[in-house]
Amino acid sequence: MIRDFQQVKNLSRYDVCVIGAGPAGITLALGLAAKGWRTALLEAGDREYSERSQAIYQSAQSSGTDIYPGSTRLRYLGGTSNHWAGRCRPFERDDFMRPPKGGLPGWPIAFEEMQRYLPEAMQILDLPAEGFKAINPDLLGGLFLADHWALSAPTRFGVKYAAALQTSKKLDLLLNCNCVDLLHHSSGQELDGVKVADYNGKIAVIQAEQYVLAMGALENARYLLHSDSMRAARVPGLKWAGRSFMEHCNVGLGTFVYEEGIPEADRQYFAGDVLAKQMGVGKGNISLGILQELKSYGRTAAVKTFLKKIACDMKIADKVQFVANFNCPGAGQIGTLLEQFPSYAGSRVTLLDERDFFGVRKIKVHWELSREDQYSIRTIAKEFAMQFARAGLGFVRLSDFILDEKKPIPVTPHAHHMGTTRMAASPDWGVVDKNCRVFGVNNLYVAGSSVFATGGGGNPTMPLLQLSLRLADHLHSLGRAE
Amino acid sequence: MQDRYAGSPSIGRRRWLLLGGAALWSIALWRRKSVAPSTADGFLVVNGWVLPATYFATERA
Repeated sequence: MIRDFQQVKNLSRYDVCVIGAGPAGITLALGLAAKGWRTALLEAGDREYSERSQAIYQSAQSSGTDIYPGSTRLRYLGGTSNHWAGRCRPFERDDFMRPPKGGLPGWPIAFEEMQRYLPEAMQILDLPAEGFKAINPDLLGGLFLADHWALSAPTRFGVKYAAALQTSKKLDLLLNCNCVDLLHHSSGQELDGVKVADYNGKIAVIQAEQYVLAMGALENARYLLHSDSMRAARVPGLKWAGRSFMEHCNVGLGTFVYEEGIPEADRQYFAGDVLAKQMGVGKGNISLGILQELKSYGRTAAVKTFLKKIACDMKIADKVQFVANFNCPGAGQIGTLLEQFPSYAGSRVTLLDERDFFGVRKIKVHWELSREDQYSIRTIAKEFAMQFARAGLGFVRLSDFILDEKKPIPVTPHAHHMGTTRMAASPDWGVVDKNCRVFGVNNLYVAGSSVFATGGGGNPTMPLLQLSLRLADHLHSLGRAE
Repeated sequence: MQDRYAGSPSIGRRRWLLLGGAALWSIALWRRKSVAPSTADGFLVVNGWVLPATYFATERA
């Protein structure tokens, strides 16, 4: 049943309280309710977008390279699935066998643990039965494969599951119910409750046998760090909370031209396991596209477009590249979605002293490329350029920052926030154990891409659903209190 | 007469130090993973374009 927290008079005790009604939270809550669990699902926003709710996300700050934390996430029913693009690509066996560069351990679970939930996750995302397909053949004779992926509708979880959430007798979806604190037992190793508030000052404590954080990678870390009672209890899992933040790297590797006779179509390649193993680089997608029209961004977009048009019309774009990047319609451009390696001291989420409307400390997200990330990006670019020519497809002109290591790599994010409550075999290396339970707290779990130990070379939504389904099975296997 | 080399490594030791330093330097250079394509890869980089080393020897040129 869907209820507005502002209208609720009495709250019962639940078997499980899931905080966050995005793809991970909705999947988990519906799964447990179907198994008979009395489930509370808390959504901070309403059924539709509102400035009031979104303002909480907009209070987050960025340092290093901006990840736009105020606009890449959405704070209402369905969460960020309300604006995702739908691209799906599964993790691969090698992702679970090879530790990432940089010294941190990789996944503490086997590939099969995630793979067995792939069919169900594909069904949830309305993916075609034929699975993951490529739009072009492999790059012959080289280390780059054709990228195989599938496109979801894209599934909007708040819309698709509204009826199921409304009719479920075991589930209470509480809208406008903002988590403001996690209340840890003063002497035990358990969470006692979740303190919640609405926008009009109503405060309550929701209690359950088990608790799951499913608020996205930035908020999951934020609430663990914000909880004074957890810090006082010296919860071992907190050492890593907020650390090893990962994104996928979108880098303009350069431009390209096709050889005569090669169809001028878009192509997508994949830097896969063999390249990763041989060269010590990350994995990911390399997209080749032909620029259809002039595009500029930012406050001076109109001026930039005007100048580009002049340069392209006069056919002098190539000669004025030292002034700015003047790519003209018809130019081939190379973009990426590349894996970033996790690190302890680099990219991370930290708390600020300043507090939001609900008194929760605001966050700062620092995103940077490590030395290993930079090497990975440059090496993939170089190897790809050579392989493209060897295959007789054409030629690549690498961006100057690829060839000149002194120049910083301009990178933009894909809005894939991962790793801030990473999964590990022990609290020495992560926040949650292989069952997604926070180290040192018996009844607190985390769902979502924040538990990713590595980011892999694909989009995170489908894998995080696989892990949510796995978590539902794990919780059910523990049994619920009668 | 005061030995001007007193307290400093002998000629033989200095030679070994130099040789050792050169070896370490070579290893450091070898370990440094340069990313620019080179003729060793069979490629040239001209104004950012990554071209096969034989590119200008063909009829195309």
